[in-house]
Amino acid sequence: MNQASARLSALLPNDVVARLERLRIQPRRKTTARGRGDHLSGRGGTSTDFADYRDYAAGDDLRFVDWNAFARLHRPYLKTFRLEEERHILILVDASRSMCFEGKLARARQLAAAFAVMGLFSNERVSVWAPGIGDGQVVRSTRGRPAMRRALTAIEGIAETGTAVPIERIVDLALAHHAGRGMAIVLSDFLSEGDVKGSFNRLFASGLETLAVQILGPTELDPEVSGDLRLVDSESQQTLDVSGLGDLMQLYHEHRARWQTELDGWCTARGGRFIATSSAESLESLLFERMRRGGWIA
Amino acid sequence: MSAMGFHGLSYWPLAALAVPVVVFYFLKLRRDRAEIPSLVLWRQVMEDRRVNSPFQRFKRNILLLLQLLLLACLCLAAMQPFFHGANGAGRHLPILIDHSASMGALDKPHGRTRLDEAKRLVRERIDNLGKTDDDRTDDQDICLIAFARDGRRLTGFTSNKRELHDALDAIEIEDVPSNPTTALQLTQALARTTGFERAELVTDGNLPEQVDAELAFKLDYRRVATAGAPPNLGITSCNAQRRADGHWEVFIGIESAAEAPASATLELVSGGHVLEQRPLQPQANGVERVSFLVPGDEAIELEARLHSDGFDALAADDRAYLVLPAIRPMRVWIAPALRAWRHAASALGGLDLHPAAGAADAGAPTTGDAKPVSYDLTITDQVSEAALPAAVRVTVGLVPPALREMITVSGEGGSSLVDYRRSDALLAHVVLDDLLVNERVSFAPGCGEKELEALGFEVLVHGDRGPLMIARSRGGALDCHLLFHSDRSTLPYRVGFPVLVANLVSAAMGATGQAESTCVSTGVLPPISIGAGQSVMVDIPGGGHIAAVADGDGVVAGVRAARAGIYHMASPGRAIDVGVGLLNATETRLGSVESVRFREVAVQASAGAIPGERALWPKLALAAILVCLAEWWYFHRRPSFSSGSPP
Repeated sequence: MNQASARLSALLPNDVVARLERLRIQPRRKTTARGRGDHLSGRGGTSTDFADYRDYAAGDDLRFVDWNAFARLHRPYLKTFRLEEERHILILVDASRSMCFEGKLARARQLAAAFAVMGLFSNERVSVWAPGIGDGQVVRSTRGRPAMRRALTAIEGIAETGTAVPIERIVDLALAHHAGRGMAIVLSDFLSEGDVKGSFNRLFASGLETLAVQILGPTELDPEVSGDLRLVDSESQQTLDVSGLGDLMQLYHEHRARWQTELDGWCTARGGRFIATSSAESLESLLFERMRRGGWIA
Repeated sequence: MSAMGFHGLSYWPLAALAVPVVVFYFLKLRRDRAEIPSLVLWRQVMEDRRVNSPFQRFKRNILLLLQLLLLACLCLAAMQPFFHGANGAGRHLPILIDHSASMGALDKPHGRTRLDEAKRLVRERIDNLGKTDDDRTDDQDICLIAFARDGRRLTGFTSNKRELHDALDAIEIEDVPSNPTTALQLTQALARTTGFERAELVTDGNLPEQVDAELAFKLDYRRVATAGAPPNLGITSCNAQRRADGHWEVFIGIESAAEAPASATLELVSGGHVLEQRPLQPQANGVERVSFLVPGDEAIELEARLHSDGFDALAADDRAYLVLPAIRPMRVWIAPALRAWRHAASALGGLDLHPAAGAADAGAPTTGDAKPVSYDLTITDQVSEAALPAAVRVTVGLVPPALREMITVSGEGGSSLVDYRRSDALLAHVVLDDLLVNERVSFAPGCGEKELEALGFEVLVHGDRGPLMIARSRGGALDCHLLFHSDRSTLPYRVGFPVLVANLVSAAMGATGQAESTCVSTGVLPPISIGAGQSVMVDIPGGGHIAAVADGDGVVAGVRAARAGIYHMASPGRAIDVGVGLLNATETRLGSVESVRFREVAVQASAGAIPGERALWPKLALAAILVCLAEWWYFHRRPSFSSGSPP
C-alpha cells in the first residue's frame, strides 16, 4: 500500500483527521436550526433530557403531568424536557485569483476540510461553497460521518487556478440557497474591493455566526519592494507604479493592520470572530493551538 | 569683483540638453512588472503617500534627477568655473619672496629648506592661474620680487607661467640677514604705476619687527615653517685684536637657537690646516665666546668652522673668515720741526719714526724710483709733506687747499676754545679746556660749519671764530688738520697732548688694520680707499667677479657681499682681502615674528597656502563621474518585489 492510498485525504494527514474527529466547532451563541439534531435548543422540547417543572396550564398535554407529584401535593405540575436541534455549518471558500498566491487557496481548502470533518463528526449539517464548480456549492448540505469521504473529495476538487468571483459574490450565492441557522466559516484573504462589510451583515441577518479566517501570504504580510515597479492586480489586471523609497513599507504595514482591525471589528460586532493567518503557518499550529486556545474549537 | 568666475561661459547652452534628457527619460522609463494578488492595499498606501509626501513625485524619478545632476556637473565643468579665493581678488598681485640666510634652514636632517617650501607655495599660486590656449592667463598678473637685504624685482606683472616659474626657480639663498624694507619700497613704487590693492609677503618670519616703510596696499604676511625653530648653532661674531707680544688674539662668538645641538667643535683653519679646535657644550639660547692666539709674524687667512654633533638647521652661519695682516711697527713721519710731537711719539715705543734723528733735514722721503714712501701716520707742518701717502695724515698750522677761501689764520689776536668733540676717537681722554691759542682762526665771511660739512670735513674742536681742528675721512684713511700751529699754543704743554698723539697712532693702526681685524657681516663690503677713478676687481667666494670704480675721493663702496668667504679686491698697486661671514644673531636664532609693524599698521602672520584662483572643473568632473557611477548602480539594481507566483 503506497502512502497516497493510505491517506484519507490529500488535504489532511490522517493524524490531523484523527484529532479533528474529536473536536467540535464552538459557537458563541446557540444558533440552531429547526431540524432535529444533537444541539439543545433554548426552547422546550421532547427529548429524554429533563429540564424543569412548571405549573400546569389549561390545554397542556396531560401526558407530561407528573402524576407522582400530583399524588403528594394535590396540585398538577408539568414536566418539561430539552429540545435538541441541528446546526448548520456553512463553509465559504474564496477561490478567486488573489487566493492563488503563495498557497493561500491550498490553505483555505485544508481549513475547509478540517471544519467539514469537525462538523460531520459533530453531526452538524455541513455545506461547502466555492466558485467555479456548478452553482458554487461544492458540498451539498449533509450530515453524519458517512458523508466525510464524499465531502473531502469534493473539497479537493476546488479549482486551484482561481476564478474571478469575489468573496461577496460567494456569500450571496450561498445565502440564496441556504436556509437555517448555524455558523458561516469564511475562508478568504478579504483583498476585495467589494462590500465585505455588507456580506457580514447578510450572514448575520441569516442567523449565521460568522467565523472569518483571513489567509495572507508571507509577502503580503511583509513585502519587500526595491526600485521602480509596476504592480499588476491579478484579478483586474490594473496596474500601479510604485517606488521602494522612504516610508512605503511602513505605510503598507499600517494599512494592512488597519484593514485587519476593521475586519475584526465587523465580525465581532455581529457576534462573530476573526483570525488572520499566514499561509506559511503550519496547519497544526493554526488549528490545535491558536484556534483551540481562542475558543474556536473544543 | 565676484568671488567666482567662468573661463568658458560660452558653454552654457549645454544646459539645453536637459530637455532631451527629460524627454528620453520618460519615453524610455523602464519599470519591471510584478503581479500581485490585489492592489487594494497598495492603492490606499500610494494615496496616503501622495497626501503625506508632496515631493514623492520627485523621489520616484530619482533616476531622472541623477541624470539631470550629471548633466549639470558636465555643463558646469565645461564652463570652467573658478574661485578667486579669499585673497586673490585683484588684477595684479606682487609676491615678495624672502631668500635670506634663514630661508636656507632645513626643517629636519636632509629635509627641505624654508625657501623650498616658499617656492612650493608660490608655485601652487602660479599653477592656479587660469589657463588659455597659449599658456597665458587672462585674468591675473603676478610680479615676483625677491628680497634678502635688498629687494630685487624678478619679473614684471605677467601671467606667463613659464616666465614666472623660471624666475622662481632662479631664486637662491643669500647669506645675508633679511630686511624687506627696500623690497616694500620697490613694491610701493610699483603700486604707483600699476594699481593693485594687495601684495603677498612669503617669508619664514625672521624679519625685523619694525620696518621703515609705508604700505599703500594690503600686505598678506604669509609665514612658512611655523612649527618652531629647529636646532641651530652659529657664529655671530669674529674679530682679532693685536697683542703687544706680537700675536693676534682671535675672538669668536657663538650663539644657539631655542634648541641647540648637544655638543659641537670649533675649528680654526688656515690654508686647509686645522690650527686649533675647541669642544663646545652649547646651551639653548646660549652665548659662548672662544678665543685663540695666532702668531702675527706673517699675514694669514683664517676660517672658523663650527661642526655640530647632531642636526644643525642652518649651514650659512657655521663659517666665518678673517684676514690678519703681519704685525709690524707703525711707520710714522713727523716733521723735524715738530719736536714736541716727535718727543711724544718716541715715548710711545714700537714706532718706526721718520725722519730718524740726525736726518731732520733730509726732506721728503722717496723710494729708489722716486716714488714717495708710504707711511701709516704723517704729522707735519710743511706743505710739501702734507701729501705724503699715509693712512692718517695730520697737518699742523696748515689750512687745506680746499678751505683756503673759507678759513683764514692770522697771527694777530688769538682764539679761544669753545667746545670740542670728546666722543671722537682722536680726542678720547684729551682735555683741552684751558687751551690757549695765539693765532686767530676764523671763517671767511659767509662761510660756516655747513660749508665745511659739504666738503666732507668734520669739526672736532670749535674756536670762538672758527674751527681749530677738523678731520675728513678718505675711505678707510683719515686726514686731520690742526688749523693753528701747536708751537703758538699751549697744546704741547697740556696733559692731554701725549694722549692726542697716542690716539693718532691708534687711528693709524686702525686704518691700516694693525690694531684689529674684523670679519665683516655679509651684505656690503666696507669702503676701501684707492686712487680716485681707479677700478677694482672683486673676486667673489665660490666664483665670479665684480668690477667697481672708485669715486672722486678714491673710495670704493657699496660692493655686494652676499656670500660668506674671503673677498679679494685687486686694484692697480694694491690688493685687499676681506673676510666675510653671516654673523647675525637674529638669523642664527631662526626665530620668527608674529607681526611686522610698519609706520602706520601692523601685519599679522598667517600660514598655509597662498589663496588664489581655484579651478573647480576638476572637482565637477569628479562629481560627474561619481554621479554617473551612482546612476549606473541605481539603473542596474534589479527592481524586486518578493511575491508569490500564481500557478
